[in-house]
Formats: sequence, structure tokens, C-alpha cells
Amino acid sequence: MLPIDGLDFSEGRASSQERVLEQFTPREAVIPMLQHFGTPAALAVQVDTIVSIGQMIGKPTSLLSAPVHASISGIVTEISKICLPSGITCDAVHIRNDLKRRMDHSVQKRNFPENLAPKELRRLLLYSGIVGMGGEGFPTSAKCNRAIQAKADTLLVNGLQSEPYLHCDVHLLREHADRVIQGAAALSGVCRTRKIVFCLQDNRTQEIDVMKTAVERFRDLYADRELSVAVFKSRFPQGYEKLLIQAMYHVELNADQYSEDTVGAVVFNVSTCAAFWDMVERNLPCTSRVITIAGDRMSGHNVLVPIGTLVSELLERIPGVSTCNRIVLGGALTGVAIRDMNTPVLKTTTGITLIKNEPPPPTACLHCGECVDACPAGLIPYLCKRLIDTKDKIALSYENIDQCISCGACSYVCPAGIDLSVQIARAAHKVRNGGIRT
Amino acid sequence: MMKKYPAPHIRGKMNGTLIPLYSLIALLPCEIAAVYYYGVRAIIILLLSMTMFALSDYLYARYIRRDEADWDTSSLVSGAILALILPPTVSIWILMAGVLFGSVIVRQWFGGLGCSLFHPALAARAFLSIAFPALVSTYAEPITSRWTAISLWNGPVDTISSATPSSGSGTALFELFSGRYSGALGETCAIAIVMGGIFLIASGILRLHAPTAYLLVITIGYILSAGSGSSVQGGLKALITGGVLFGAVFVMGDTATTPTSQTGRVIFGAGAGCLTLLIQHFGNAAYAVGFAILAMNAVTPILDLYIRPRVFSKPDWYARNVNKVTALREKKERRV
Repeated sequence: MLPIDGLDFSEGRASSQERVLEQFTPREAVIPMLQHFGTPAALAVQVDTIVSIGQMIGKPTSLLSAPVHASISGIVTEISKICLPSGITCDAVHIRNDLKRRMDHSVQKRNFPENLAPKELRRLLLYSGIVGMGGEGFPTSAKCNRAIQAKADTLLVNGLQSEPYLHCDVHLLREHADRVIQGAAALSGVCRTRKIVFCLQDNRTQEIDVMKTAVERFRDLYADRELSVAVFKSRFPQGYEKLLIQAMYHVELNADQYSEDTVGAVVFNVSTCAAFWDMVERNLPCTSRVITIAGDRMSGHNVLVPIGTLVSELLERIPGVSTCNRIVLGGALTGVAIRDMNTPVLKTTTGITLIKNEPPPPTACLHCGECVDACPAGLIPYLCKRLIDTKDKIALSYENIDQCISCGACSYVCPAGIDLSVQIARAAHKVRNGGIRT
Repeated sequence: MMKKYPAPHIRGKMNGTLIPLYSLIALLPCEIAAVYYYGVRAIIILLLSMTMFALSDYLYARYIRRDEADWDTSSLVSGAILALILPPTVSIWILMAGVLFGSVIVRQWFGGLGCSLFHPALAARAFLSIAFPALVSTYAEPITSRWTAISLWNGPVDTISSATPSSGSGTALFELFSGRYSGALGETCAIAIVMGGIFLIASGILRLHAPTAYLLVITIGYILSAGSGSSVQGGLKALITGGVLFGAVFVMGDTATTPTSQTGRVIFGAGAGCLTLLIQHFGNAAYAVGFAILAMNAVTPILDLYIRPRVFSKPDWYARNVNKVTALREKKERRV
């Protein structure tokens, strides 16, 4: 086993093969104003306003912000402050569903969506409220601006969903390959990149075949761009932007470096591309997304969920939820175990993982070095943990702890069951924000 | 409102209670061989060593109010290894002295589970061979009547040969593998050790870096020293006798006393191999393996300090010279 080999989750965890998505209709939606990285959107509705699907209810407040749209049609019942899983409090609009599925008047099919000018596409992207839907939450329009400034020439579509249990991006690649490819092409129009590379893991054989044939089909339509499919080794963590760039270009990005500047590549998630195609084709902003509902004792499936659906409502019909120990928003390794079941699904939520198996209580560190082999950033997690425990800030500042990507691999492999990644990620966050000074 | 849990929410298959459990299972073939060759005496020594080691660990941890004062299965492993590397004629009070030294001084004074600098069983064995050289360096031939549990208290019985394990000349190939020659209680039977080793490798506990490097260096050393007179049988003898194979399988797999990095473990194994050869050729051959591994145990913290993985997006020299950089920066800061 090589040091940077990563963890292998491919065994015994086949992704679900459903062809048609179940579309979930919630009774109520709670739509927070801050679903992205940046400043929260400003409220554009009041209580008792009647809203329709795709209507803008939150306006962007700065360049690093994204608008928020109503995901269901109905009446605004309440505007309150809620606490997001990340711990940040923000305004949220509660909408009661009238079950009429009224679309906003702006949502209509566009003629020849492939031929839109870059300027037009950029305007659509700004309006659509699309953010990095792989979990990063960085506003896509801001990322495109960065790519334009850096004159990036490659657009990478990140389909490396390497976390166990999650497979919503894989579903999109398999069943909605056209949407993903056309969305990526539209985004490349915005960013003015020439090459488009679809990145997949080698264990997704079916999806690789689907993408290869689909790329061939679209080659004539997008004759001015180079479409290709790149296959990566399946390992965890692989989907992180920095590790993707490392695997692709053998360039390791610093904490303050962007891939656009150094290698001229801009990375978008598969869900982001698919969501942008909805905007280009039908003028439908980011109002719903595909999420995976899976668990360690159940086979997973994918659901199309309006943004703002409450987890409690989503899980009502799933058997065995009440016996779960943890309900995790996101993947089993990096997700957040929610404490309140009335948490809404956000634009950045990739799935809900139900965990029944409780790990045994932690013991003392065995000094085995498994975490050193597992860390993709080259840290020494057991040593970092020891230094954090002893509050040795000077020694800690030379451990390069700010390189931690909080992937959770060290805690996963630890035979003693110590919560390494949580403490190291917290310290790394402090170091990045200049909290620990020496 | 539910409880707050930190990520990640699933864990790997390996956990802290399984490792000592699997090690104990892996030691079973050796224990069975010991009982087969030395009868009831071996059973008494093994059980006593294991229970006393675990008990003394537990009581001392309770006495100093250590946080993790749970019943620690890994001390059973240390006890079993200590019993297996002692000569079968060892008397009980010497065994008890070794157990107390290993558990209290080597293990608990250094911080308990995962913190010990030296391997507790090896350190206890080394302590005994320095403090009571006459009483623990005589090895008995395997006995014929298995029910003689005689003279447990009096130490060496009269009827033994005083051959040290690696000086037993003319051992046939079959005897080498079956372990039917005078030696430590459980170190002799190569088949049992290999069985345990295969089990450890299959269950993913034994990392092969250190043992492979160790056995490789021993083999190369044998070929160099024997020159043209080297034979397969002689090579196997060099690999099996004197606890070389036992040390490679059961002692070098220990997590606390071996380096955390893979390169470090290879250096550990190779260094222990070189030291073993040196001690066997120029020094007292009776306990070469133990002292060699103990010496490398002492080097382990240094290996951990200097062999670091390359930090992501940092140049290679940075990882190698991080300690120098640290020292320089601290000096500069002090000046300011």
C-alpha cells in the first residue's frame, strides 16, 4: 500500500441502478437565504406572499452571493431565523405547498439553447442561483468570473463521487448524460474554455460507457470544443478539487492557490452542470436537486427533492429511521450529523446517510501509524492530535496543519477509534483564520 | 434534539480490541507447541504469566488513576510473549520479577497502552538475563513425560543440558521446523510461528515492512558470513533458531514500539537485523534478537521524528528539514 493510495470503498457497495427518479412533493419547504459560500441573499418576499416555482425570493447582495428561488408553489407562511447544519444562523422562508405546481411565468422552453451567446449565458448563470452542488457551495458565477480572469482553457466535470453510499452524481451521469454534457458545454461557453473533460472513477464501468457514447453524439453539435472522458482510480478521497488537480496534472495546489491560475482548469460538479442546463433550456433556476438516501443497513436510492424540503418529511416513508443512531446530511465520512430533524435540504446537500452501527468507544492511541498512511495531505494526524491535546501551539504551527482537507480518512482508519479528523480540522480552520499565532 | 456526533460516521473494520484478540489467537499454535514439548509446566507458566501481567497492568493503572484504566487485552499478549521467550526451566519467582518489571516499569511508567518505548516482554526478558544470567540462560531439552510439573519454584532442574538455543549443532531439518530441540518455551517450533504469522497477515494486523527487512538482512548476513559453504539448511537455521522468526512475527508487529512510517519500519527491521548479526558474531549469542530489537525500539522515536511524509503542495526538502526549519525559526523569534 502506497502512502497516497487512499481508502477503497468499492467492495460490496454497488450503486443503485434505478432508471426513473422518484420526485418528492413536500407539504412545506423551508428555504434558507444562505445556501452558499459568501453573503446571504436579501429577502424579496413577505409573509402571505403567493409564490410560484422559480420565483426569486432572495436577491444576491454582493458579487460573492447567489439568489434564492422558491422551489414549490404556495404561500409564504413565516419568515424565521433557523440554524443551518454548518452552525450558521440565517433567515429562512417557510412556504406551504398548494400542490398546484404553478411555474413562474419566466420558466419556459427556449428555442436553440445551444446557440446562446456567452454574455447571455453569464446573465442566466447569475440569475439561476447555482452554487457548487458537490458540497462546496461556492457561487458558480463567481467561479466563472475567476476562470475568465485567469483565462482558463479546460473545464473539468467532477463525477468522482468517492464517498461511500452516495451516488447521486453517478445517477445523473448515467441517466441524464445529455443534460450534464450540454450543461458543461454551456458553462464552458461562460468560462470560454475550449476543452471539457468528464472525470469518472474506474469502478463506474457502466457510466463510463454511457458518457463515452454520449460524448461522441455531441461532438458535432459542439464542434469548437474538445470533449473527452478521463478515468481515475477509485479511491477515497478523490473528489476533492485539489486531489483531482493533483491526479490530473501532478500539480499540488497550496492553500491560497486556485486551479484556474496554476493549471488553467476550472472544476464543476456534475449536479452543477445538470442544474445549469435546466436554466439554459427551460429558464428554470436551481430549485431542486437529486440526493441519495442511503445507509449502512439499507440499499440506497436517489430522489429528486425540491430545495428546502425538511429531512423529517423526506424520511417519513423510509423504514427503520427511528432506530438510526445518526442521521447525516452528506456522506458518511464528511457529512454533518444533524441534531434537529427539521433541517432543510440545501443546494449543497448531496445525500442523507442513515447510520445504525455505532462505533466502539475510543481507546488510547496505539501509535500504529495507520493515520499517517491514510492522510492524503501528508500530515501526521496522531502527532497533531497529541499537540492539540497538550496545547503546544508552537510545535503545532510547524506541522502544516492548515493543509488538512477534513476528509475524515484518519478517523476512519484509526483502530483506537479516536476522533482525529474533527479536532485537526477545527485547529486547521483556526490556523487558516489566523487564530493560532505563534 | 439528538446528540451531537463528529464526522466521520463510519469506521474501518479494525478496532483496538480486535488487534490484541487476534494476536492472542495467533500465539495459540506456539502455546500448543510449548505445551506439547514441555507439558503441564508450560501451561502453568503461560497462564501465570498472562494473568499476572494483565492483573499487574490493571491494578497499577487503577492505582495511578489512568483515564483508560479498562481491562486491557494487549497486556495478555505481552504476558504470553514473555512466557514464550523464557526458557522452560524458569522458576516462578523469576517469572514474577519479569512480569512486574515489564508491566509496571516498561509499560505503565511510560504511559500504558501505546506509549511504551520498549517492547514490555522483550525488556522484561532482557532485564532477567542481566539480573539473573545463570537462571535464565539454560535451556532444557523437550521432555518425554509431560506430567512432570516439578520444581516450579527451584529454577533449573538437574537433568538439563545447558546448551544455548543457537549453539545446538547438527539439528536436522525436521527438528528445525518442528522445534524439537532445546530452546525457549515457544520460540522453537517454526511451523507454529509461521501458522500464527499467516493468520496475522491474513487478518491485516501484521505490517510486513519490518519483518521482511529483518529476515532479508539476516539471510544476507548468513550468506556473507558462510561464503561458499552456505546451504539452505544453514540459512533456515539462521532464520529460525535463536528467536529470529518469533521476533519477526510477533514482536515486530507491535504497534507502540515500531515506527509509524513505512520507511521507518523498513529501517527498523534492517537495523534490528544488522544488530542481531553483530551481536551473534561478536557478542553473547544467547539473546541477540531481543537486544537488537530493544536497541531499535530506542531509535523508534528518532525515526518517527525525522521520517515524515511529504506534505501536500510542499517541496520535498521541506519535509526532510522541517525540524531544522523549526529550530531556525525559533532561534530567530527568540532574537526578536
